[in-house]
Amino acid sequence: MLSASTVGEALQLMAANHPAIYQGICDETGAVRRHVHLFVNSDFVHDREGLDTPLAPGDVLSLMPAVSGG
Amino acid sequence: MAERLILCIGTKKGLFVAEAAKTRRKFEIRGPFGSGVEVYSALIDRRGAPRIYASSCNAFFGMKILRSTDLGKKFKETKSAPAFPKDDGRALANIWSLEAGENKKDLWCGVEPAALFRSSDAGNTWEMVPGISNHAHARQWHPGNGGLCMHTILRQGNRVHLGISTGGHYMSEDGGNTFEAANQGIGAGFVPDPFPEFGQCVHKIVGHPDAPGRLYMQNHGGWDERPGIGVLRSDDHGHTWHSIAKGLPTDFGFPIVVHPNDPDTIYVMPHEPMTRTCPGGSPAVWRSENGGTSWKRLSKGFPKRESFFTVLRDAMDVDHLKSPALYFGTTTGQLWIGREGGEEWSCLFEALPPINCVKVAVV
Repeated sequence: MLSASTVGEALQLMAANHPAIYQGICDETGAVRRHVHLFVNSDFVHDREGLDTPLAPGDVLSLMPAVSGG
Repeated sequence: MAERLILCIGTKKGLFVAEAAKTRRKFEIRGPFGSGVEVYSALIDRRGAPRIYASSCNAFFGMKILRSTDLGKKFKETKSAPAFPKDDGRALANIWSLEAGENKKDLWCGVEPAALFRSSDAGNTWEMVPGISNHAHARQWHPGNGGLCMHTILRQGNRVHLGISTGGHYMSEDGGNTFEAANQGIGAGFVPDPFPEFGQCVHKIVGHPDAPGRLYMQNHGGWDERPGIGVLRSDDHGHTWHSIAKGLPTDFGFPIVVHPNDPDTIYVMPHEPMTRTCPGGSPAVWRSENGGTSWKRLSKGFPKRESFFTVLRDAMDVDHLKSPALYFGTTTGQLWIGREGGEEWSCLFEALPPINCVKVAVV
């Protein structure tokens, strides 16, 4: 459970409380790594406001590693 | 315990470790470690209790450094990997070189985008070296085909040589605090000025402790209009460079290796510049025993045709036994050994994943 008003704010809480996990999701510049996809409920955040996508009480933020390649 | 020959093979799918007695009759291989993740650099650190380090370049979740204290039977991640300062604006894309520093736990690490990091605690924490990472030229370097990488770190006392593709050769004479571009005589075929101050696509630099001041370089050659800029030598600690490519079938290639017991003996693997494979599909390593004045083709044991090997910049090494053997890995996953200084070649492993780097040591 996190208390945050946007996706970006939730990631900053993760950086503070779970830095090892955060480093797997975002690089040093704070950008979400290319192969990690973030969803708020079933919405891809890229299709909404990116890291500024608002969070409401009860929303589920999912972090999906899209591992691909040959 | 009897000394063992340890071979680290960094591949597209992780690190493999092969081990043999000093007779080199039979190699046993284990791995992959860091399974499924590219390994571009490895270091067999013989200072004190041996340690093996390898970069684990995870395109999905970021970079790691792997460390083994039992000769590559098990690996664990160090507590952290190099990372740019938060306000720098650059993000680590890859780790291209790992070298031993001065003190037992000191490590140096070259990364992409080109920058240098140092650790004083065996890779658990890292600090960026601003003298080169924030050099006035740094934001003007451009990536080569492999990325904007710092692939060579060569320490010789207070002198430190760095190879950057494409940035060129940079040198420190104060132990690595400040660096200057030192590219006089190093050509470039892809910019209007054939001999720019910096921006060359250096592929590899090597030296030898018995020949202070002498360095050899494999640069990006293979330019018909600007011949002879691919294989170079310096006799003044890297301040100026001159061609030693005469006699080679092409001056394009990636690795260059110097014999451990003879600074006059060097090895290259010429590649056709367009395909980056062995000329005519007929693999050969070329050896000079006079510092690059003349070259001899070594091909005994290789296929005679239809073999289009590509050998990357860090995928060739030589062991330090009395009669040394060379080793190289191909991007098609073959690991070759050249016994008697490359006189006779045989394939140790035929079907590994594509090979990025090969390091060997007797421990």
